[in-house]
Amino acid sequence: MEHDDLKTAWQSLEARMARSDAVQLALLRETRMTRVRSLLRPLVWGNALQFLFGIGLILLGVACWTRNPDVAGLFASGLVVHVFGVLTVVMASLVIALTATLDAEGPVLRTQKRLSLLLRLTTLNGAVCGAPWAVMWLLVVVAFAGLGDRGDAAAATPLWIVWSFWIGVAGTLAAWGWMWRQFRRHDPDAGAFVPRADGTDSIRRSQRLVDEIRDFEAR
Amino acid sequence: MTVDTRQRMDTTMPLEDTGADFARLLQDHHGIVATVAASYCRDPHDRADLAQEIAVQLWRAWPKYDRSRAFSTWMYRIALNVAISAVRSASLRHRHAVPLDESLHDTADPAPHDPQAEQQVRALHRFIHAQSPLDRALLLLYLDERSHRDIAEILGLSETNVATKISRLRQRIRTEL
Repeated sequence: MEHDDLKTAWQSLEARMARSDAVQLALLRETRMTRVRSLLRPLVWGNALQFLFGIGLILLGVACWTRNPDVAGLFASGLVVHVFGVLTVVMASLVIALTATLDAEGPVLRTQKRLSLLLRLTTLNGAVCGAPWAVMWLLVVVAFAGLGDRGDAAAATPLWIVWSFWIGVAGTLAAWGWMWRQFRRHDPDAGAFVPRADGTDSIRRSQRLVDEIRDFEAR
Repeated sequence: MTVDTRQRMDTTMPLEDTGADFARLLQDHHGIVATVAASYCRDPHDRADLAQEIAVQLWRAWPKYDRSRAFSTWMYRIALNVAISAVRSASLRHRHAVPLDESLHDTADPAPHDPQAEQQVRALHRFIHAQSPLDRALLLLYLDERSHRDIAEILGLSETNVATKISRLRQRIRTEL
């Protein structure tokens, strides 16, 4: 198509688009403005809750390991819960901080790169702070047990705890392995994103976004 | 969009008038919202949602708008950022079952025109929708005859980079259309 034809075709197409009944800016009323939607708002609230939850885990972990320095199992559980709480707080803080820097007024490429980073960070957050709950629930229960009267705490660890622990470890490793596989796999369906029920949408979306930005910059 | 749409705001404007000014500027430049929404969404409901979302985000960003800069450039940045982000969301994508030619029907030109011109319009429409979201942004700005400086400012690229990309884009248009 020659330049003049392209220009004529565009003018015709643009006129049709502008006439489109889809655009009814008259609907833009004050009432609507007061109910501003933001896709990122649930993310910020969710991470604010995660931050508070992380603080709770830190307090629980510290309370457990400081009270049980001589009981290896309780001491270790408290320490792990403490460290996991710190991770939970750090990841939530990073997501909230990055969300705060997002600006729809910014240059398109910069904003899209930040969105891509945010998508990766939320995915990492899920892997670091979500997947380990297959085993963390047990450590939290043990940490709570360590707050009370020791009683038989110093005795041999019950068998169900040992089994649950190793099953949880296996579950966490399997979840990480699945996520890693999704990260590494090239998505042949990149042109037609279809949500899946396996919880890997955010991984594939972030990969796709990174690919698009890289292709655009290279072209 | 023409050059006269790049009007600038009066910096001495009283604050209480800003709501009315926003509505007026939005009306004056509604073509940008319409074009971006129609370029990123085929489904009429998605288009309406996207146009509304763009307008809402424009209103949210309005207090921070630097009046010494062109309104249309600012508007393009927000419209494209919102559109590119929205088109990736699963909520829009899973409703994306509208065939391309049918989506053009939705915006059909009531005036009669020759079949060859109609074919070219359809080919251009298909070409626009075949681009990745970022390439589509560049294509829209090029078709809208924005200057390299404007495109660089909107997309966040250097002017040299824009010139290179436009040159390659022209080449692709020549070969693919």
